[in-house]
Amino acid sequence: FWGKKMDSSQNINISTLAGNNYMCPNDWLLNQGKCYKFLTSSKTWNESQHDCINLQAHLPMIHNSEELEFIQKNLKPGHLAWIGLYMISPRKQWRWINEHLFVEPKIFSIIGPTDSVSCAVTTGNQVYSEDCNSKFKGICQRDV
Amino acid sequence: LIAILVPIFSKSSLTMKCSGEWIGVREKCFYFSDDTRDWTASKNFCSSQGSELAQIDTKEDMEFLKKHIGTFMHWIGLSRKQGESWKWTNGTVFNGWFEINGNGFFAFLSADGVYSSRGFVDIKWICSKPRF
Repeated sequence: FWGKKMDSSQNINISTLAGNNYMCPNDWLLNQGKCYKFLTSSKTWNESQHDCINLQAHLPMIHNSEELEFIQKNLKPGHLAWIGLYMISPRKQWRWINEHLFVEPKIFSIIGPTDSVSCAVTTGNQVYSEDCNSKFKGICQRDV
Repeated sequence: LIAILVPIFSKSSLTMKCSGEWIGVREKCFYFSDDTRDWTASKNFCSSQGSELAQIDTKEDMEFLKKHIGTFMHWIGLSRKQGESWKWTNGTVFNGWFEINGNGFFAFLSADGVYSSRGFVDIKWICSKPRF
């Protein structure tokens, strides 16, 4: 089962799964063995990915609908954020930052044009294609 | 003195009111949505209310809007076509008095500035109309 307690002395969120301790740094959120930090300044996709790397993390790679739901649930209406998905024309194939192909619509579909270099943002409802040089907030993800 | 003040007061009391959920600031009434939509649907909503997606003409209006939106992104009434300049929804060319960040074709307001998008994302929006 999932048990949660707060170690107030170190200010670290600890969740226990079947005796194993999973930890995220202070002000990161824990979900399914991964830690998430919602960045607060608007930057290009590349800059946001760079900020995540500086935190030993990366823009999110989403493997199942529970992960997407977790991220979207934590984005309030009117908020949106870069995820780790990009497309370089003319290949017209979406790829995760680890170069794995994204297969639509296995977990979700991406709304918007794909005729030029595009990067993906998610709102609380949907995932959209945007210009990678536009500025949005990002989400960093890392393993516990 | 009274002869001067009376017309001023009566004029300002006439312009005080913005109906329902609209908020009055100086010469304009503003509407802040709870819901989220894409840019075009937001623009259509404002038209249906006899208004435009927010037109921001003064520093004072900008400061007010930035304070009021909190951390949420809101569509405003600026868009452009490929190779053309930014225009307000009434067709007026934007004079560039504030910066619009990014490569997009539709503008939205954040607490830290104005940014641009392809217009498909569902975010909140602001409508504006003159008070009188």
